[in-house]
Amino acid sequence: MPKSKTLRFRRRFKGPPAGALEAFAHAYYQLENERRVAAGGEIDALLQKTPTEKLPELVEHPALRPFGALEYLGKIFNDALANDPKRAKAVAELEISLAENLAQPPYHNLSIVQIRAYAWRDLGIAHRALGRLQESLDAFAVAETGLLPHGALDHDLAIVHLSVAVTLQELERFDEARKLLAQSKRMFIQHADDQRLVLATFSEGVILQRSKHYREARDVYKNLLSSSAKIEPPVIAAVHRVIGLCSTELGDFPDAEANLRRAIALNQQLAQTIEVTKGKAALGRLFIRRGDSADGITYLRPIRREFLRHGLIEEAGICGLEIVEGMLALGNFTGAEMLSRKIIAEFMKAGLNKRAISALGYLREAIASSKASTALASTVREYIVSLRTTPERDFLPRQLTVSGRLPES
Amino acid sequence: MRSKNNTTSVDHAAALYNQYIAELSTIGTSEFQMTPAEAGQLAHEVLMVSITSLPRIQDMRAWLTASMRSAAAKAQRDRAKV
Repeated sequence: MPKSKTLRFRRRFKGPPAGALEAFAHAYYQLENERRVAAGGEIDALLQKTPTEKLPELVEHPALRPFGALEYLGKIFNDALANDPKRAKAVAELEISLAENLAQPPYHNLSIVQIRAYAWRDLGIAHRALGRLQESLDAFAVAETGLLPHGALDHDLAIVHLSVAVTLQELERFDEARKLLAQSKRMFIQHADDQRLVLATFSEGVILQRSKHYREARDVYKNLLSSSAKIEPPVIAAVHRVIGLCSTELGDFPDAEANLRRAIALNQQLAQTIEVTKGKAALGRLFIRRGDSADGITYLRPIRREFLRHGLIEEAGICGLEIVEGMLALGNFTGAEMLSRKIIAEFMKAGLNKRAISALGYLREAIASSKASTALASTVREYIVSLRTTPERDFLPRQLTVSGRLPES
Repeated sequence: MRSKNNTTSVDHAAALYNQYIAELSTIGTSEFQMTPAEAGQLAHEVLMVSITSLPRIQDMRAWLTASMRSAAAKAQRDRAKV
């Protein structure tokens, strides 16, 4: 804008609307106080002594009524997410209930829209962590609907879109995810939000990885690590893990092992229990892939138990199938069949996709008749993973040669 | 009566508001042909939202100006629809 025009405006600008400065200062001061109180320990203690099933009852608790307290619950949600997604979901639901009852003054009505949107976003993230991808998108849609009409909340909308893109890529809806990421990146650049720009770039790498462009994906990740961008420790850990996964697929086992071990160590430092377990599962998979089946089996058994302990039945099953693959490589058909039976029972008890159970049944029968191969176990595992994204996909055993590899298609 | 710390906090808020309100309003009038009153109102709205956005803001000036432009562009689109 030309300087003369600015000066002309400044002469015309008579200051903010009446009472505006006072309203701003009041809200600023109050939220600062509420944030200080929220971080003072009462909310932490309250949440710690409340079991997950009782969390909804906290909606009436006065300590959780203020805006600052609701913000603080968002932090508690993030902590819970890494270790206990079911509890994280309950916290997100509590956030939503509290946000619905939030008293507006002295905050602007857009701030209320904003915090409600974040509560719904948290629920979407929790659903995703629990493998409920459609529910995740539904929750994000509520957040998006609230934010969409308000240009002043475009940065928040971009943050929600980043979360949507992650769920979309889990659903293998890559084009939609890519489009949202591109929009979000533009918004992050405009708002000088380098931290989320890194996350969006990371997500672009994940899309490449999921579409099996492992080398390109690994390049994106390695470029991120070598860039000057300030990357948060949990993201660094995640980047090392995905580099490890890409390198495993590329057969670059030394690079894979170095990166997976780095990821696990970082997650341990951050006390992210489930992330540690997922990193270890990836390392166990690497052992099986490079032919160290006995070591891989020994390594993966406690990891599978850990997934079960956290109620992550599908993850436990997938980990179990890695063990089955290792057992088949060692010719241990009895052990492989017993474990397949266990996985089937767990899936049935948890009410997981019947197609997954049928595919597991096919594998078990093939093992029982000594016709199963490592390729079959691997195919069943990949099929079960694919059901997350295409739950109606049929398992086509005709395509499988029980003693050999799948035909290229 | 407010304590010294409280006064500092309110003073800081006032300084922040005064630092940006004119600049944001100028964006509305010069780039989006808003009246000074409309631009002032929108700039106030953006500043109010910044309070609750603080945990997500890395660069206050960049965030405020980008948010003002987004809000003004949206208002302009809404005006065009009427």
